[in-house]
Amino acid sequence: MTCTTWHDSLTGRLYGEIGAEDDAALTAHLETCAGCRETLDEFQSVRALLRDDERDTPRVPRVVVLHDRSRFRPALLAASLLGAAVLAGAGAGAGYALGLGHSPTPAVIAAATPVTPGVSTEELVRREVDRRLAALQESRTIAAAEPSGERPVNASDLRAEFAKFERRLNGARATDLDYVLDQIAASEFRVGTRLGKTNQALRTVALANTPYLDEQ
Amino acid sequence: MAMGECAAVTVPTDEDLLLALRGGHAASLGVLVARWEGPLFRFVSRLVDRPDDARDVCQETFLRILDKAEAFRDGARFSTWMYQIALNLCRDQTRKKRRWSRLLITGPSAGVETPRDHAAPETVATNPAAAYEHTERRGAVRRALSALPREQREVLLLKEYEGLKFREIADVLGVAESTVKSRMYAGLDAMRMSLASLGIQ
Repeated sequence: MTCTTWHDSLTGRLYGEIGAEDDAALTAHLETCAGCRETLDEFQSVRALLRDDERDTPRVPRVVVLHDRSRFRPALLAASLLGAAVLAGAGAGAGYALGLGHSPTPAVIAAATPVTPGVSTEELVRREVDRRLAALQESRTIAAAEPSGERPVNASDLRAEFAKFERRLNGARATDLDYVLDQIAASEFRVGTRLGKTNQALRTVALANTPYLDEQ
Repeated sequence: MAMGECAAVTVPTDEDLLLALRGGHAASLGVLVARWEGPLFRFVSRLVDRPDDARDVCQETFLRILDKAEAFRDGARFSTWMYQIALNLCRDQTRKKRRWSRLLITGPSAGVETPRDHAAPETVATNPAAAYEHTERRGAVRRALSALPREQREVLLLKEYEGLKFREIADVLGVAESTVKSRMYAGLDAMRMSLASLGIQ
């Protein structure tokens, strides 16, 4: 039989949440009370059994969701993907431009092109072509004034380069899309159900591996 | 891109992340989820009996956090708030599925099924008798936990597995600290008797 007045002190002692004074009083009480001593021992055994079970806690299904509401529009995700693709493509474009040796300037323009959400890749490429053609016209005017030995670049050369540029861009975009689709598929696999079914409010899955954090 | 650029690494607190989330920085939720999905899933799993339900409750908890980020009280602790939301969702879930959960907790390894339930734990892998005893004991502990009155079980789980202080549990549950302590005592006492009746100590 345990003395009810010592209940709080016993749980406090068990979990290390007891003041020094109460702790000393409990120690004195335990010396004279076999019932409370027994209770404390048994509670400690219960805790050990509970902790034993803790080692087998379930693995967490790693699904992270973005909510579908105005400030977290999927369009933003699409825009950032597009941004990544454009930058990757611009890198490739820069390579071509430098390789041609005519003028590195257009590559700088491409890298600095602002990414506008909602504008298609084709549209961005078209604008870039127009911009570079305009730049070409200018350099031709200069070239006419100071003729050099190099073969002049014509519009069809430039268009061919941009066709390659566009293929690279689409390739990068496809890679990004594949990555996102893989993440969705992997998450669905872990969860065991299609994400759309789990909760109608969930629209977009963002990924699961946050690189700088350890798995729980 | 300035590749060599390297900012000092600071680790934002949960509360910082919630404030950022409030301000529209959606990625903060990802970090909060990464930090808390493990503990939360463990906690919820022990309250709702079925892993599928636990998963739903966890997802719903994070969605509510996103939806109600504005309602977060300045100066409050994120984890306390999160456990509060999860606990309420668990209660709804249990209410809805009461009949089913009663049936489910009668199985030999009631509660949460883990992948390791199907494999002997490493420590006793070489000894089938020990493995059996270990599995039995774990099952008994889970049954005893499931059989506790809800109030006692909640306190016990928050304390034993989530490591919250009595004060924090009181905040999560919205009751006095003394109430938490007496529920804790009653829960441990019930566990002790229930395990003793099964010959486990």
